[in-house]
Amino acid sequence: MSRGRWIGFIAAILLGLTAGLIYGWVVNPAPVSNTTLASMRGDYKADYVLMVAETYHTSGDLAQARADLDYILPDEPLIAVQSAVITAQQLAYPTNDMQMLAQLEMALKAGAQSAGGTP
Amino acid sequence: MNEKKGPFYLFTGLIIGLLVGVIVSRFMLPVSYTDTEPATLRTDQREVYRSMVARAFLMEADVNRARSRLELLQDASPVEELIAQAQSLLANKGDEQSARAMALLAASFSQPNLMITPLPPAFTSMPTVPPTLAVTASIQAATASIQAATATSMPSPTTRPAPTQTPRSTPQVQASSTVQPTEHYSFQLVSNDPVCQSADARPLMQITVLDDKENPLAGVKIEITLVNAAPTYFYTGLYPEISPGYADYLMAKDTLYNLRVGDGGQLVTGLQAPVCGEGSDAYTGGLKLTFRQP
Repeated sequence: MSRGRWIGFIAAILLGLTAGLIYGWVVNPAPVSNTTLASMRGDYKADYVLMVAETYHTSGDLAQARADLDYILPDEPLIAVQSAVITAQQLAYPTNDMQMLAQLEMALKAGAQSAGGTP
Repeated sequence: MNEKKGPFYLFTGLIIGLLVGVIVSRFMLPVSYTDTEPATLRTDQREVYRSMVARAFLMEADVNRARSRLELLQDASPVEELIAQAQSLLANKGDEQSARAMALLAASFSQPNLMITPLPPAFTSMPTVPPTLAVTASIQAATASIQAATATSMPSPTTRPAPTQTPRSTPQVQASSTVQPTEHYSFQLVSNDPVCQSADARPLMQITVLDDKENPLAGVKIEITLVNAAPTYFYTGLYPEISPGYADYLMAKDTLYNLRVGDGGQLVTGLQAPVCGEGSDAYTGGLKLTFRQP
């Protein structure tokens, strides 16, 4: 095959590739399914964190709360709760809910500080 | 040879590129969505969400709130999903508390008059001042940095689901009447009747648990032990269409069972599936047991 044909062949591949990518990403993207808790919108995440805070309020099990929060933001439970607090403030959550979020936040902070102080 | 073969090589290249592009964009590097809704969660994440709703329900005892949260999953039948997940959890020896919570929630959905008392808090005091906005401003900065750090090389989302409904649940409604199925009640066997319906019927141990006012109790733990076997646990409330206080267990022929309802309940020993009929028509029947809180 001549050089010109090779160039045309590769250009055609690139053109097809571009068209295929545009089709799959823009024209007909994969349906919104099989998502994770971590990809949920902020207000949904805040409600999930509130549920974690509610269960922590009755169980006092901080390890379980951390495990539950891992679904929202792996290895960063404190930030997950703090983000939820911001959203909760914006959405004017009831005082009782805010208190439970604050309680979980304080417990996680205390846990982080004690873990940080461990040699 | 004659080189005049036409532009077919261009079509070939185009098709190859198109195929690769579609495979990459749809399967290898599909659109990564953010700001999604619970209804789009994959199965395992839906189970986590469902379990969390049920556990929170134990604390709040707010059916409306739990219902509005579960509705976000858009399950065809939330009650059946709760029951199926609770049964699966118990069968796989998963978290009993979650299974009990889901059984109770399913029963509460099916029995609007069923109200439970919230679990007592583990803490005697609550923080009086929620985190201040000054604190949260720094949190926003930290969150932004985390999000930037965790951003992947995946293609940016091109389609975002539009907000359709608020995730905030309904205003809290305090439970008024209380039917509190705690595991510490001591339930006593008040009736033990053989069930001989037909040879085709499964030999079930049908258990109904009632409180002292004859109200059925959901979420009560039942322990069954066989000789030289580990105990099996299940809960009432998994069949709310029968009764919130109902549970059953498939019995085997010529096997002795010991049964305890609630952690502090009376241990009933030597339960055995009855033999119904006579001669060649004999078959294994079931048992109908009723336990009541004294």
